[in-house]
Amino acid sequence: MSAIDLDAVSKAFGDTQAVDDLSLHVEDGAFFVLLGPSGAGKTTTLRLIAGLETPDEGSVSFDGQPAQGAAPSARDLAMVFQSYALYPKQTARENIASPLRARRIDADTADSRIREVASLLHIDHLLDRQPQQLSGGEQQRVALGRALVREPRAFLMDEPLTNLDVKLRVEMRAELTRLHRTLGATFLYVTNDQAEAMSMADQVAVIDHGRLQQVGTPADIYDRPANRFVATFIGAQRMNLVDCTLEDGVLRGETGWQVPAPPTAPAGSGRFQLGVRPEDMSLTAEHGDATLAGTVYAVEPLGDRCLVDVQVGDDLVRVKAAPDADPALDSAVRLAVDVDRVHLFDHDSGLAVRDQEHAPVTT
Amino acid sequence: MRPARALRGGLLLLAVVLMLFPAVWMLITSLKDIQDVYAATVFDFTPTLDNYRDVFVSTSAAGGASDLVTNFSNSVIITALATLLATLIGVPAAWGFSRFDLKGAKDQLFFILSTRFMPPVVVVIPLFVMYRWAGLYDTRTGLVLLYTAFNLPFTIWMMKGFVDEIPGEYEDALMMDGYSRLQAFRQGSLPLLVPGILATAVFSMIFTWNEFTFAVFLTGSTARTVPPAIAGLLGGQSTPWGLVAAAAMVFALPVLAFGFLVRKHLVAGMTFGAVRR
Ligand SMILES: Nc1ncnc2c1ncn2[C@@H]1O[C@H](COP(=O)(O)OP(=O)(O)OP(=O)(O)O)[C@@H](O)[C@H]1O
Ligand SMILES: [Mg+2]
Repeated sequence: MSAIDLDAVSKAFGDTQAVDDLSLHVEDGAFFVLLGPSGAGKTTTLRLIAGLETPDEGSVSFDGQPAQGAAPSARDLAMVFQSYALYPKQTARENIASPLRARRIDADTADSRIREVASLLHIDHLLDRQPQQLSGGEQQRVALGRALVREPRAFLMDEPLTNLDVKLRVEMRAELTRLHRTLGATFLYVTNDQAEAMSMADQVAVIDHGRLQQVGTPADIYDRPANRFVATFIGAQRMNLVDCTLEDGVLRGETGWQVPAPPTAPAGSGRFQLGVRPEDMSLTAEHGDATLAGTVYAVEPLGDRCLVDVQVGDDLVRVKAAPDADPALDSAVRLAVDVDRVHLFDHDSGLAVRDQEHAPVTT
Repeated sequence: MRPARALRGGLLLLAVVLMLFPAVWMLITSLKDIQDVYAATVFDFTPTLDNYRDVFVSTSAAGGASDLVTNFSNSVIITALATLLATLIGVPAAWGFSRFDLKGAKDQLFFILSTRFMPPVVVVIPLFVMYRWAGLYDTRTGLVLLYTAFNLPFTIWMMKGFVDEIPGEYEDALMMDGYSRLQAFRQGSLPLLVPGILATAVFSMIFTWNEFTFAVFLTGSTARTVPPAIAGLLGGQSTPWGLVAAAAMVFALPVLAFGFLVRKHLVAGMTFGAVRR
């Protein structure tokens, strides 16, 4: 059990800056999720913490003790590799037993540990198979088993559920969060799936191009995205962004629509982007305040709701509508915006201007 | 259908005859006494094993083991040691080059390879002088050192290719499990490298076993290996062709037998890159 700190860590591979001046504080016992798109530097960050890579600059510490130069084996961490890295000439059982063998745990204890972990992951019946005789999802669970068989000071998990079917993935998410509660251990969990991050994390750090974009609770990040990247990356449906100008407390769009500026908007004028999530808008017939006019471009019924793409000037705006809403294509519609839930971004820097307390990090 | 098959058979036969002709000729000659060697007929002779006896037993009045026996034991010892040493040093070196970010690794690798650019005949005279001075002339130690150095570039380059093919994450995972760097190499990569190591060692072995230029210049009688020894039989007033042929046959045998035994590993080693990772 241990807190992990990264202090201004950088790592480059040739011309690629994989991790760029990254500072993180992972609370002891937290379920901390590193979220970012492919190539963001998530795996590199985990490897830096594990001691498998050496930072070019900055330092990693555990409970305030700098780990500099400590061998990976001396850091007492368990890691699930994105590529699984199961040992090819060993059975699943031998793979899972490897950390116990390295520590010379006696056979009986090891055996019961392996059985526990195997039943948790539903791989009891696969223990005598070799990795090449297992499906991708089964291999992934064996890789998880090899990490979970021990109680290290922290678990590092690199996209450990990507290869499972939906049902199993949801079940394993629950098992992992449950395990986290019962063990009280620190989990550092990497994913590129924002829904997974939102549902599992105590704290989420969003990274892109090796740089920290925002760190906070899932609610923080969803409700108060620090910049355009975080705003559009988080959420099941991508946040809509529409160009606008601010003047006298009113936002004006290119097609002439007007929306009252949110209270956090700066005084004065300037160019901005209005961000609205599809769930914070609705189709309406009225010509009220805070409505955008457009024509229906596409309709996507999803059963419990209906996604409607509306062409507003040059932008496509997506709105979540009632399941029975079935507007005709190319018909004129109006979108009512929930003014309390809009986001405002500086047009050029992409930084959110909504939130003063959470000083945004530059992109 | 028929004529095509006959044609194919004929062509194959021709190829076999062409390829095996020198070997068969040697075999036949090794079974002839000296009159039959010089006779006009090829197949009309009485086979004798006298030549093979002369390879091992001295023809002098005193009897005892022949000089060739010494040469053979030199060849065996020198080849075995040089191959073993080159493998023991070369495999870890290749692993280092493959797994670690070494400064100037490319230049180092090129330098290592460049030691093989010089043809042996060019370096052998200075080496001769140095060996005289260092007391290594005509010693097995001298040849073992030389052949080890000569086999190393090849071993390092070939083994680096094999190590590159094995994902480093096996070793990473073992280190996370709590093993040291070296234990991780031993458990994670070494077992997968065995076919590659065997293939590389066989090439080292064949080179060392057959090497002629260094051996003829750097040895006298004590440490002389078989290739210069056989060549030495040719120089006198009359050449004992039967003995030469018999010695050559005996000399060829170990490599053939060894190659045959490890052929499966050889193929596995050489096609390693084709298997899925
Ligand atoms: N060993 C390496 N050599 C060269 N470049 C590397 C190496 N490892 C990573 N990179 C580069 O560093 C960047 C970050 O890679 P990283 O693997 O950390 O991304 P990631 O966030 O884990 O992505 P993914 O979600 O696809 O796994 C990428 O641009 C990648 O190409
Ligand atoms: Mg990754």
